[in-house]
Amino acid sequence: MTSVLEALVDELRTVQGPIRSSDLADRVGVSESALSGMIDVLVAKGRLSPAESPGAGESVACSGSACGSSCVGLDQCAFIANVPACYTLIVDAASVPLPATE
Amino acid sequence: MSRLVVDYGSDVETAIALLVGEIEETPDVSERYASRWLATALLDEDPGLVEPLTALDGGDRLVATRDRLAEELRGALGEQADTAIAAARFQTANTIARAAIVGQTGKSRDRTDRIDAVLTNRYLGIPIFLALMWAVFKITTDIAGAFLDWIDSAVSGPIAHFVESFVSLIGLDGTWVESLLIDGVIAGVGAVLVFVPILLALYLALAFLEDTGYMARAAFVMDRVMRGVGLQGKAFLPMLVGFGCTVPAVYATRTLEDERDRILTSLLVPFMSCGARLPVYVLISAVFFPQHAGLVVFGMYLLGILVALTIGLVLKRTLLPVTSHAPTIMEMPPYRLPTFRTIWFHTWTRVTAFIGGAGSIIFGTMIVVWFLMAVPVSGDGGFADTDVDDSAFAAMSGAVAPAFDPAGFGTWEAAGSLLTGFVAKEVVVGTMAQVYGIEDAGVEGPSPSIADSAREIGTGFAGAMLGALRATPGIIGIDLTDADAEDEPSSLMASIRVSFEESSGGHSAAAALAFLVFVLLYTPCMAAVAAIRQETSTRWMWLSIVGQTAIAWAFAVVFFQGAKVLGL
Repeated sequence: MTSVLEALVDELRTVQGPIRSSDLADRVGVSESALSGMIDVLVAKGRLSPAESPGAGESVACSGSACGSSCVGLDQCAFIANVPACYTLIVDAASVPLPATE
Repeated sequence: MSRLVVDYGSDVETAIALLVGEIEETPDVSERYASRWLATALLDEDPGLVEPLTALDGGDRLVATRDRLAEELRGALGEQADTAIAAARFQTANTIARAAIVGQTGKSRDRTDRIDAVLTNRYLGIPIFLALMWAVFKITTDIAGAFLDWIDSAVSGPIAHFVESFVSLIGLDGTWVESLLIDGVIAGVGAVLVFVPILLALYLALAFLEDTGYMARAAFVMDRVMRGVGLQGKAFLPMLVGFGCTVPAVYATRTLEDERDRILTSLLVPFMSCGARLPVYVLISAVFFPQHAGLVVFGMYLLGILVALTIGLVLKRTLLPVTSHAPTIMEMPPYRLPTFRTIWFHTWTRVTAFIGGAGSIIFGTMIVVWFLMAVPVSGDGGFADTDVDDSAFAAMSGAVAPAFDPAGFGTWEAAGSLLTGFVAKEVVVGTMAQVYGIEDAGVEGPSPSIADSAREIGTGFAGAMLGALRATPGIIGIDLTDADAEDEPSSLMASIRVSFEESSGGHSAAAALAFLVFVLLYTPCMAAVAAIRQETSTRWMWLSIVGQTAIAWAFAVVFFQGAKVLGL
């Protein structure tokens, strides 16, 4: 029997590009909150890679002297302050062919 | 009440049974823990369990058995035991949820989903994003533009008079100190600070979109565009940051695992029009395209994206072939009604950061530019008393200026402004204020009283408010402005127009457009160059500098010559 975690990964493999978590939850047939827990497990297992905050651990980027003079820092950047959490599937391109449909 | 026992599948259940047997033969452990729970938690690799367990008699043996069974399960299942356990739990929870929750057949859509169906639609998402950005720049230039003259007249009037009176009071009038303060600091830094209302409006509009939750959707839409040039999903983050400032955007490429993605993104990020370029767009648009300033600014942002996509496609097919497109899940925040308090907090933080920046890099550069303009290299003038055309700055800039002849702005003033732009784009406007406005920068007439100055500032503000209110309906196409009443251009704006008119052979608007295109596409600033070197290599850094400058020059020439043909 295919587990719901495997179904999630299989469904994700059929996607080429970004997918909203609510759409993926619909496709897999689980609630969005359940999907969130499943994502955490897949992240812990190294199957999904979370997009870190662009400045995570890189305080040098916005430390002042090295920064653009009109930069307000990543946590206040108008274009990034409310960016969605995102997770990328770690694909072994050699072994897992990606279908070309969305 | 019946007790639910999750079925983990035959392989895992066999391993659990073996561990349960061993646990029950270990009294120290079985007295403290429920056997099946402990067996499952051990196979699930519960991180907090091993230490207390090994402190008990027989605990080490249990951990060793767990390790052996986990290894066997990995071979049998093709995945780790804890993954299989998590999958079984989710499967059980999902089965229960499906049985227990009724009335949700098919896809249920809430308000956020319904709005997203339109805003992130495969075909509508990008046009809607562009339309919203156009509205943002329309608001920015049309409404906030009314305040430019107010701040300009306050800086060059009462504030300049105050500084002049102070210099006179301490007996330094007529000296280089007065020139430094009036021609250098007030003219340069003041010219940049004039654009604070523009940034205020931009940040207000963006904070509004951000607070509604739309900016997250912009990231989603942008991601699709980025994939078009072969960049992986996460590359949209640095590209979006690039609209704010290139430097952190380049550093943000560290989050990309693939080196080719990192290099490609670092090379493309500088084409995203950063906030520091905005004052240049607004100034030049106010001089040459006053009725279409919003469209011109929007056009610059759009051109930056298009050039980045084109360059990305070229690099993808040549130097940096990209191999994979990993799918990405995005967790969108729900839409919500924005609150004024949050919007104002974000806006104020960003504006004060800009003013702080103006007080450091711009201030320093303006003093250097003033110094170079004060040093004579020809003619008979002395220090701070020379014709600007004889200054070191004019000589230095004049050596570069002929390169811009085919683009219609081959003057030392324009070239000098672009040269200082390598330091930071904010100083381009400050330099223009110095080099074009230097002859008019002196403060004329008697100093007004404090009461007169306050009255002048107050009247100017009221006029600006009225202008902003009149311009507001223009966003939806209702023009309430007095078309016959043309604002008197400032001496700086008049000087820029005359200079571009002369250098372009009468095609000043075409030259202005080419100038803007060059500002958009050439190297953003030295800090960005240093960041690119740090994140890639010296070779890629030079490719970025030379490539961007060459592309900027080529586009500027094509735009000027093309616009000339079109009769601009």
